[in-house]
Amino acid sequence: MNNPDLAIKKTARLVRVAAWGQVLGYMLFSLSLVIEDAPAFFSRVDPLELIWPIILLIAIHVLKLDVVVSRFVPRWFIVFGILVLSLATLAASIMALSLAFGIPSAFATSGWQYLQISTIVMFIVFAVSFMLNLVLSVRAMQASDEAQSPNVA
Amino acid sequence: MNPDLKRLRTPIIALMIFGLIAFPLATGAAFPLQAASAVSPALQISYEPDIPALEFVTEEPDFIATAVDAGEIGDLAGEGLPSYQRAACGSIDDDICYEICYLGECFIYGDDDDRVKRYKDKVDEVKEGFAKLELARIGTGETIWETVGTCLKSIGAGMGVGGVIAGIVVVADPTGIIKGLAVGGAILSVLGGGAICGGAVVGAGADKVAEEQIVDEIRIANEDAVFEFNDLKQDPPG
Repeated sequence: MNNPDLAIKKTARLVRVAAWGQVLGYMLFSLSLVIEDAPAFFSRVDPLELIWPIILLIAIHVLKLDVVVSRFVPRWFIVFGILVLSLATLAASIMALSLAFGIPSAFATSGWQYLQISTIVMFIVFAVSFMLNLVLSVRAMQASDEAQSPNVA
Repeated sequence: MNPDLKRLRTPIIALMIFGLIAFPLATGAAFPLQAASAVSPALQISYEPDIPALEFVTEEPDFIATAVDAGEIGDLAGEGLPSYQRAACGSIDDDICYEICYLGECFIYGDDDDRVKRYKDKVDEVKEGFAKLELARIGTGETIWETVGTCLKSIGAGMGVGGVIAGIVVVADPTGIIKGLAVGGAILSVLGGGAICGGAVVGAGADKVAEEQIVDEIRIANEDAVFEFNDLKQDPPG
């Protein structure tokens, strides 16, 4: 495999991992609300809002959107966009933690404890996703540099 | 047409279509916050001061099933908070009497004494505060969900639009100021999505202020109730 292919492969992996991380964090929190509101499952969660993450994953795995994007969009832009996105959702999850833990522990009813646990899970998913994206971004950029540099071997 | 450009035409068109779909999502990303709150059922708390347990009444009772499950709040005495309940007056010369409790200590007083009335009012305020806090929690969950969704949609759409622009830059390979403007536009589209996301995160901060206000109300009402409790304990009605 030559270097340009390797660079595209690594960038496509970054796109896939980033998409899965973001969708997973969002869907897990959505699921926590849906379960909590049972049997009126969609009182707070609009079911239409759960369709686009699924469409995105289908586009990546069936239509190979990750490969198309990696091939035709500049690598620096993919890395920049993914890092902004994962940082933003990480910030949102930190805000969520701050809201969920913003009451004295003595006031935390079972409902508050449920919210606290679900925000912790979301924070962990987004934090891990951000770290993975960071590592994969560096690797993608390194592969990109190798692809551009002359082969001295 | 340049063969390279011809080969790239289909993926570029696909990317442009993706961008066109993503862009309306980005521009509408701020609206779900308002729309969702407008659609949410109006909640109403029905509170009976003489009944120790909290009672929620909503248009959709199932909606806050879990919140009602927090009926443990209704037992304020169990939480070490001031509480009261109707009791037989016995030898007390009064028609209506209450047993008032705090930290395991309980006394029975007639309700003719203003301090007993004030104590009851403050305990009721504590209960109402907890009910408000539960409703705040329900709203908080929804706010968090909408904020994360807004971030994903706005920045995702910004990436889609920016990706199309950046892709065209690679294919068309413009030079000079046009390239600079195109690259700047691609970056700005992502940052624009980030700004929408940031606005949603900051907006969610209002929920935190509301939470803190409710907690303060509960604390103040609790302290007032404790004050009346201690006053009655030290200087019982004659």
